[in-house]
Amino acid sequence: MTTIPSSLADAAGLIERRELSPVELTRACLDRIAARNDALRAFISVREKEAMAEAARAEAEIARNAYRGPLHGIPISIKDLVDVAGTATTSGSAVPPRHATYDAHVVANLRRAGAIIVGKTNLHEFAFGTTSDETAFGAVRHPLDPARSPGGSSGGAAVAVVEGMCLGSLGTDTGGSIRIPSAACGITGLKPTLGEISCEDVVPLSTTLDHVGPMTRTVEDAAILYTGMRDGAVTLDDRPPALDAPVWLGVPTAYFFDKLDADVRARFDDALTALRRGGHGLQDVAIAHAERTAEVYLHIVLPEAAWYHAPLLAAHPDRYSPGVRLRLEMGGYILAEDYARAMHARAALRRAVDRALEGVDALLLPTLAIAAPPIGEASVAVEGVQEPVRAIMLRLTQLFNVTGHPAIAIPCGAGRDGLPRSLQLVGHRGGTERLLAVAAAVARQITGGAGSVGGGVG
Amino acid sequence: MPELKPLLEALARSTQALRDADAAFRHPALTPAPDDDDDDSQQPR
Repeated sequence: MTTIPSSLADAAGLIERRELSPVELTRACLDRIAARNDALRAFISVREKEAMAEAARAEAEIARNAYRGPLHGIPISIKDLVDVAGTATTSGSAVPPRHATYDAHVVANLRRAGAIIVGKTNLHEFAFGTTSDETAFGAVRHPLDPARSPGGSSGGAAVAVVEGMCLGSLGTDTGGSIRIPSAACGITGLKPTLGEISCEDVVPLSTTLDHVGPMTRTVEDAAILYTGMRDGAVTLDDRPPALDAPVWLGVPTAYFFDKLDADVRARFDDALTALRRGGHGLQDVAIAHAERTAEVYLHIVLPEAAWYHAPLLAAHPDRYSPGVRLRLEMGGYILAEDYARAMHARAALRRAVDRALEGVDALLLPTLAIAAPPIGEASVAVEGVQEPVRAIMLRLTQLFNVTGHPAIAIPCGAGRDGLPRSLQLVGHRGGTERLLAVAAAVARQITGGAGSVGGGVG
Repeated sequence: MPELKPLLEALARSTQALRDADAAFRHPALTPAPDDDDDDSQQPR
């Protein structure tokens, strides 16, 4: 039986040296899906026959010295919000799906790099939620505790990576939907700079806030998958370079540390201690108006989502999950004037984050204020105060969708409950590659670069 | 939809908060207060 390597980069090295067969690796991932998907509901559809055929083609190409790079022969998954030729794009909904006749641009890039698509992952319906339990395909379950949510909306994508059902996932992020499940499940999730990776033929939630990005076990893997998504060509040289000097990080203390689970705070403090010990620089910074993020975000995401869904809501109102439908209905009550007001505020927030980044390599803050929440709970206690689950989960991530800065979630250990906690690093706009290099240095310092903590790969 | 009512009430509060922030976000038709000059700037703590 083939052992699935612990990282995409390790698998790529073995495949390049012809010590690992893409066919056997893909078979092993498909076997993991078969063994665990009924319990975890990570995948909506599995492309078993197609994936095995793609793996056989990759293996034949590599055998005749036509190796394309570190994604060649690597099994990955695609969030079922993104078009893959010959499949239905369900968006996790009972609303009739669209049937893709060609690949989304980002999927075509990954195929060109040689990736094998094993299936399409489950999600919070239409990506409009943070818990992946409002889906027509059954709530996604956390690998470490099936009574808990893996986060969302890219919940199935995170579980697929943790469980070794694939070596990397494509997720989408409108308010934190890559970083939140990555944090809840203990993996790495990158939201690149706004606009860097095409959202063409991706079902939109919010046309000006949506991002596509990678979810993987390590920062190095995220860099490989990000480059493949962006360019369709990737080499091992696209891994983040080792930095030859300590990094300088800004910690935006106000607002971001007001409401945190005690173990999130403790693991964050541990990380600061480790970084100081490693000679890295830390300074407090402030982001002006950060406390107004939720209002600005809401007045952008609701009307943009309402625009896309208006004809579907008119035709199929009862096919939506009740909570998602209510949020979509709300969008119709926002005045154009207030949308314009939010877009003006957005520019001010962008400038404020730019200014907080002056003189530092990246901002450092927690990714998720709580651990993975119990499925079905509307609120959770944070330091003795009940907080709405959706708002508290979005609290630390949504600002960087509004501003477009690249942001990455990396695991930083577990709480007393055994559940993962996560750090978030935010880079300069247009500086995603530099952010990946900084994140690799930080990960090495705080975890020894061990990658995900969420579960085991067989 | 009766379930929508509490959500719309919350949305109305959020909208009012956004409107109340016009000065903080330097609405171009408002004259900034003299001490608002560096309102967007980094303020080390």
